[in-house]
Amino acid sequence: MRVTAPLSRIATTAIATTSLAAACLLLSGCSAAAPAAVETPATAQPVADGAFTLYSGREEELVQPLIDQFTDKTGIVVEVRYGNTPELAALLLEEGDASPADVFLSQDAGALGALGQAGRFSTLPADIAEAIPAGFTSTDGRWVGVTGRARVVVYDGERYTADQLPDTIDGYVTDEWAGRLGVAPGNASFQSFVTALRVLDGEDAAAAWVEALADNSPQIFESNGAILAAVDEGVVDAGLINHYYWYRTAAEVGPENMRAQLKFLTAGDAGSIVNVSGAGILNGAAADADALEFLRYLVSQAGQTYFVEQTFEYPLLPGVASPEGLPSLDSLINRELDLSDLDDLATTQRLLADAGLI
Amino acid sequence: MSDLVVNRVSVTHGSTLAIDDVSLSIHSGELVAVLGPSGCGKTTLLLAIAGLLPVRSGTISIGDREISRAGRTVAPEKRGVGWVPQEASLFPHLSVGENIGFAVSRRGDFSGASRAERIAELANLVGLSDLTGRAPNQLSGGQAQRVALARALAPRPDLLLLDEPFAALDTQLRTALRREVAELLRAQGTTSLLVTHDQEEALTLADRVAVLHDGRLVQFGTPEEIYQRPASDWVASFVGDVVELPGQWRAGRVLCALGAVEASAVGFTPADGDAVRLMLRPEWIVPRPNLLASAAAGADARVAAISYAGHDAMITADLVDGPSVLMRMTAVELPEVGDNIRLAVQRPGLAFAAT
Amino acid sequence: MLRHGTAALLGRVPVSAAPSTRTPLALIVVALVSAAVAAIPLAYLLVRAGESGLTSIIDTLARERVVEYAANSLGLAAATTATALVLGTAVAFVLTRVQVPFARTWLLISALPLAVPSYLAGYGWLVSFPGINGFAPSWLLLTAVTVPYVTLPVAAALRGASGDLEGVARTLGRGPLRAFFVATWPSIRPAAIAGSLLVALYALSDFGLVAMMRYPTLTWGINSAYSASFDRAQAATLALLLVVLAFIVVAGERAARRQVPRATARAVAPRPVNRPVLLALLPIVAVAPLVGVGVPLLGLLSRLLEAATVREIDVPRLLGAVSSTVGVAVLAALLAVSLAMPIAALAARHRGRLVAAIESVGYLGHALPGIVVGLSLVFFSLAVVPVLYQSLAVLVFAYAVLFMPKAIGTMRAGLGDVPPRLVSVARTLGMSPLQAWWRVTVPLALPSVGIGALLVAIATMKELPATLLLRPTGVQTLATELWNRTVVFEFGAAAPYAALLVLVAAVPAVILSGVRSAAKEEL
Repeated sequence: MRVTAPLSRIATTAIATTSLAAACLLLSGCSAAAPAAVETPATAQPVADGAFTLYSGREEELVQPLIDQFTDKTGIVVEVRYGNTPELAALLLEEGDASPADVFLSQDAGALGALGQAGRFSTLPADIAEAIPAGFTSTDGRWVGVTGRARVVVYDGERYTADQLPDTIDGYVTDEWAGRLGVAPGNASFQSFVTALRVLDGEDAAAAWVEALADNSPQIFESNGAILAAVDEGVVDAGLINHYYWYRTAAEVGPENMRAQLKFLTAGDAGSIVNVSGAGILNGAAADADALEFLRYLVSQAGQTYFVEQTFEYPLLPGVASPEGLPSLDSLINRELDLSDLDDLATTQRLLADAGLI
Repeated sequence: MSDLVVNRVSVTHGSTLAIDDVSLSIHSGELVAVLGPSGCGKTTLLLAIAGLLPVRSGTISIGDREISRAGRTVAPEKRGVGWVPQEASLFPHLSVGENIGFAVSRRGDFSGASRAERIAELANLVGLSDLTGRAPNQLSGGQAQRVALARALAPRPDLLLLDEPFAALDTQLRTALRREVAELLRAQGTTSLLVTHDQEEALTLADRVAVLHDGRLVQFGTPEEIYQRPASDWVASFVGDVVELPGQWRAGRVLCALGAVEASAVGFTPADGDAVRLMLRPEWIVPRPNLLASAAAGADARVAAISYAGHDAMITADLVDGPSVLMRMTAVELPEVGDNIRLAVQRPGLAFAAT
Repeated sequence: MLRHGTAALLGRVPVSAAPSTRTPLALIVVALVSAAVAAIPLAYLLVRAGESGLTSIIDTLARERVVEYAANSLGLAAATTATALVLGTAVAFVLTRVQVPFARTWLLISALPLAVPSYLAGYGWLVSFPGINGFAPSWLLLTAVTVPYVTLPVAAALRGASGDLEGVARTLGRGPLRAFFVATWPSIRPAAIAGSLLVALYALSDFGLVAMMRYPTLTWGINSAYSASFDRAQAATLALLLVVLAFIVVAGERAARRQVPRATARAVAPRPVNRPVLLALLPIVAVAPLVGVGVPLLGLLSRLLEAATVREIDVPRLLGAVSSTVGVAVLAALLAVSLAMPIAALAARHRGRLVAAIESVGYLGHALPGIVVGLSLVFFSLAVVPVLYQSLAVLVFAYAVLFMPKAIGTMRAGLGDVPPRLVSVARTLGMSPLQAWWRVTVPLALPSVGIGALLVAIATMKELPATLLLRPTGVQTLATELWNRTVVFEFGAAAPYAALLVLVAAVPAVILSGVRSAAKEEL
């Protein structure tokens, strides 16, 4: 092979490559809703300009149709950034007041609490804050609950029936469950559950339960979805997850094809608490009418019904019917619990860390 | 073309003194060889002249321009010194023509020729006109050296440095090529400094030879001077074969196994009766037929071995009373092994102090 | 004494015949700029970790679980590096020294695992073998996707290394394996060690795979800290621990690197072997592509066929993601190579503690999980150039910070391979140092620059967490689109994106396997 590498040939390649890159980016730029990308960081936009920016910790597949519905109805354009709730929360915390986001839709209350405590949220107007009953929303009006998610036990339907399984959470840390229970201790929903355990049963009982779990060789997973998948494959016998994961998978593959099955624990037991997902308005957008309109929509009949039908989560607006087949929300309610109480969360995490679970 | 003056230059390499207080000057158009064994510092000297190594003390000047002194080294690209390294070192990513024309700017040579013309001229000069399109890895060793030479000559350097340029070639090619190169350089009038460890190369090609030993210049003179009148016993044995015999000094002669051989003392003044070492070149020892034997010099010997080299032969002769000597004879009329032979010395030898 | 000096000059000791052995100031300054860029995440981590105070930091580090994380990270990195080194060298050896039919194709195949993101490999395996978790599958899969980092440079080095030495060693009584170690290994060692460094850093920083395999490493801990406690200080502390581990690895590589000068190479023709031997050797070459590419893709394919709801593929969206992916990859490659160049140039020819420090900092980005680098750039861009926040510029910049190390090693080797004598000759022909560098060093080192660029491009295409954080709202890459769908278990919809991601990333991987040195062909 001849070796004279004419620099002209190299230069040509370099130019061609850069042009290709530029072309690609132009194309992709055209297909994306680009204009907002280069705006200067938002300071308060008190006028309703027909658009706002949403950071959504809930996935696109789920949220986009709702947003489209909203846009059809109100004509307001929503610029959405999808991501993981914890990562978006970290992002919002990192961005601080320079954040381009106006609204944050969160998968769980912990993230909302963290942002609230960091002073990133503005207090919501009364009509939004009070739309949702206490116990399912923030205590200080900084964020509003949107849907409810019950903690449940998912179990291997081929090996057990629901009656064979314990009805309270204590029954799942006995010796016979060694190595057979799946949990996701890093996950916010599990930590909320442990917080509930502390509040309902007392610190000592909760610590004992956590120790018992840790000693029992639990199968550690990163997420609820992973636990469900594992149970459905027969890898673990049972796990602690949120209810709606099962319903959504069942909707995709058919309930009769689900090996994994759900068991709701006794009402009042910490293992059956209801977590909430919710949303808040960021400081810079406190007066943004469009953003507030969206929040209103989330807690409206239309918005709540959407969640019921699409994700099988509990609606929090009084008067909207829960999904069929699920135990009623009232039976699971736990008003003593402030799920976004971060101090509680920090203590819970110390507890879990001491037990070696996180 | 200009003079090169190296004045009391010392060069360190790392913590070692590679060149120690060397001075020499080369006249314009001269070809000087720097001769010495491996490790004597000759390549270091070359690199210092090229500006690739700084000098610790002393100065180097070309013409009236000082290019190196302690603490100030003119950059290599500004010196006008060409370099033909030991192994061609052609640029592998460029063709032969592009290698040759590397230093020629696009605007052309300052003689008015275009770049292409200059490249063609140089390629022709070294006899590689039809190879300009080739890649370096397609050339033989000799061809590559010629390209390296043409490349170095292209910018018309004031001085050309050649670092053992023929060392990597096989013997036959080496002899032919070096003759060619020397002629070419003379024809061009290029001032050249050739580094070599091959004494035959230095003696045959150079106008003058600088002999380096352990970083010091031990002799600088014409080939004849260093061969016939070496400044020390080390130079004597390095530059050519020697026959060494112990003896006693007496009135301008050395009494040794070859008889009373006329000799000149080198580097010392012996008194009568002092023990000295006599050094002779093998070709200074000749056979004498018995008839013309004179009492003064000569000895009997017997031929022990003959090392035949085609054009001459080296004969090992065992002296009747003493050691063996080597003698070199043209190969027209050679004795045979076992023959008795009478030896004489045909020119004065060199006497050195007994160590 | 003098002998040593001359030995140095004759090239037996790698000292260049350059006018000055002091490192040029201009180069150091430029390299420092690059190093500063690479250090942005470090600065961010120090700021965040510092916020919580020293006691809190010590508390975090003393936690039993954290010690476990660190041990797991180190153990996984060490094991993966060892296996990748051995396997990669073996594969390279088979492909260059043995007469294998369709050798080019096999080389290409051996490079393919580069195109598969580790999370995809994990996902693909879990589909077929749901029960796997823990150390062993993490180790196996990480090895499979990182082996090419060793294979490719070692193959290139073997092509240039003389095989005569091995023959000599054999005649002197060494068996084949010993002969290899004594004769050939020293000249390919720098390439193998440099590749191993990339493997080690990759293993330290990986999150996607270990998360799926539920093997708790430091990256798992960092992620937990962000996700669960929103405690950026704690996350930063753990990330700093990871940085310390990375520095240890980098220092180890430098110690092991010890440059051996190239003997004049006469290329070795591949040796023919008989069929049974060939059949025994080929599996060595095939194992990594099979594990890293074959099984996952088959798993995905089976999911695709199984999925009850096969969604309609949104073609414009797919194409948009493809063009974004390719576009940022190319730009990131160009930027990373430019940033890496001064560091590589410095490290290629100069020694000393400052040079070592600059080079080590350059490797920083590679050891950190994407989320850390992403957040550090959020912080940095908002502080320094808020106008550019959430623009492509910052995203490309993040990729450059993350993947600069991939280019540093290869470019350093390529630049170092250029014989100093050629540069000296160019100087005597009237070129200034910069001109000599541009006309001689760069053209000869260009293939290594190309390799560095390709490695960066591939890594960029696969990158996920930093992309999620920094991309302009609305811009999607193939990796983010894939993630969108796997998060919701939309297997049917995920498969085309997964396949396309591997396909697109395979293009530079294939090019990579074909890059030859500028002047390797011998007579």
